[in-house]
Amino acid sequence: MTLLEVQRRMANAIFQPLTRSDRMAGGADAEFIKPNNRLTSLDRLEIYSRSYWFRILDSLYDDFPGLRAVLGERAFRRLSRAYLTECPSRSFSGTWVRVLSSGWSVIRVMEEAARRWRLIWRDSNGLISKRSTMLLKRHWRLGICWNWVLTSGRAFSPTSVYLGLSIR
Amino acid sequence: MPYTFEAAEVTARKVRDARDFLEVPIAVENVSSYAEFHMSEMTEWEFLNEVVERADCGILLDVNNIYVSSRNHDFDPYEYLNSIPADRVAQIHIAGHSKFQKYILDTHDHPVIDPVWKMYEHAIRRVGPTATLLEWDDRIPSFEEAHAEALKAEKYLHAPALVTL
Repeated sequence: MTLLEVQRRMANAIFQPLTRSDRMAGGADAEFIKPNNRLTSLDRLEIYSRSYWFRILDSLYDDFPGLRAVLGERAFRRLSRAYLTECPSRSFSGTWVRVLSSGWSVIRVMEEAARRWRLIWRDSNGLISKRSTMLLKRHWRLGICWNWVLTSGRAFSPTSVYLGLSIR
Repeated sequence: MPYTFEAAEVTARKVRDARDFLEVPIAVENVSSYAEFHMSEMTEWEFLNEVVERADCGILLDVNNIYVSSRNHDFDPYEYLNSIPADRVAQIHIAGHSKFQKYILDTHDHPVIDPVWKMYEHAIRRVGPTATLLEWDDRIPSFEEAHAEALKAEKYLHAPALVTL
C-alpha cells in the first residue's frame, strides 16, 4: 500500500459523519491502524474522526450566530450536521469552509437572512406576533428551509426565509 | 501519517517548497498521536529526525505532545527527547491535556502536569534556554492563572546544561 492510498483511506474514514451518539459507524475501514492492548484499530481511528467533527462543528457554531439565534441550539446542531453531510469540508485543517461551493453560498444566505430577520424583529418592537414566532419554532423542520432556499431565487428576503421556515 | 521513508521525503519536500516560496525559515512541530500504522518503518522521533535532516529545517518541540504520544503508544518520552538534535530546536511548546480511561488527549485546557514540567526541564538542559509558549486555548482560566502557569517556565529556563560525553 502506498502513502497516498493510506492517506486516502484514512481521510475517507474520518470524513464519514458520526452516528447520532457521536461514534464512528461500526464498519469503518481501520485495518491499516495497529490496535494496542487498550484500543482497537477502530477505537484509535475514532479519536481522529471525533476530533475532526467536533472541531468542524465548533467552527460552524462560531461562524453563524444569527442562524443559531433564530433556529435555537438544537435545530442549529441538526442543520450543521445535515449541511456537513451534504457538503463535506475538503479542508484538512479542520474548518468547515468550502468557498465558492453551492452549499457554502446557501448557508451564508441563510445566515444573512437570519441576521436580517433579527433586525426586523428588533425594529418592529416585537410587533411580529407571538403566534408567528411560535410557528417559526414549531414548524422548523430540517430540510424544509434547506430545500426551499436551494430552489428559490429570492433567498435573501428575510420574509421568504421566514415563510420557508414556517410552511410545512 | 505512517512513519515511512517515503512519507519523510514527501514531508521534507513540502517543507522545502514552503520555505523556498515564503523565503523564511521553517520549524516543524512534533504531533500528539493516537494511532500507529502497520506500515510504519521507524519510530516517531526517528521520523522527525529524518524530516528535519532532509528539509534542513528547525523543530518546534512540543513537550506535552511527546508526553501524550508516549502514554498512548507506551514508549519512553526521554528516549524521544534525547534523540532530538538540540541545535535545530527553535521554540518549545508546553500545555495541559485530558486523561481518559484508555488514552490521553491533547486538549490545551488544563494546567501543565508535573511530569511534563520535568520533561521541559530536561529539554531545556539539553537545548539551552529557548523561547517557550504555553498553549491554553480551551476552558481558558483567568489571565492571572494562565500567566502564573506561564511564569512557572522561568524556574526551568536557567537550568544547568546537560554535559554529554
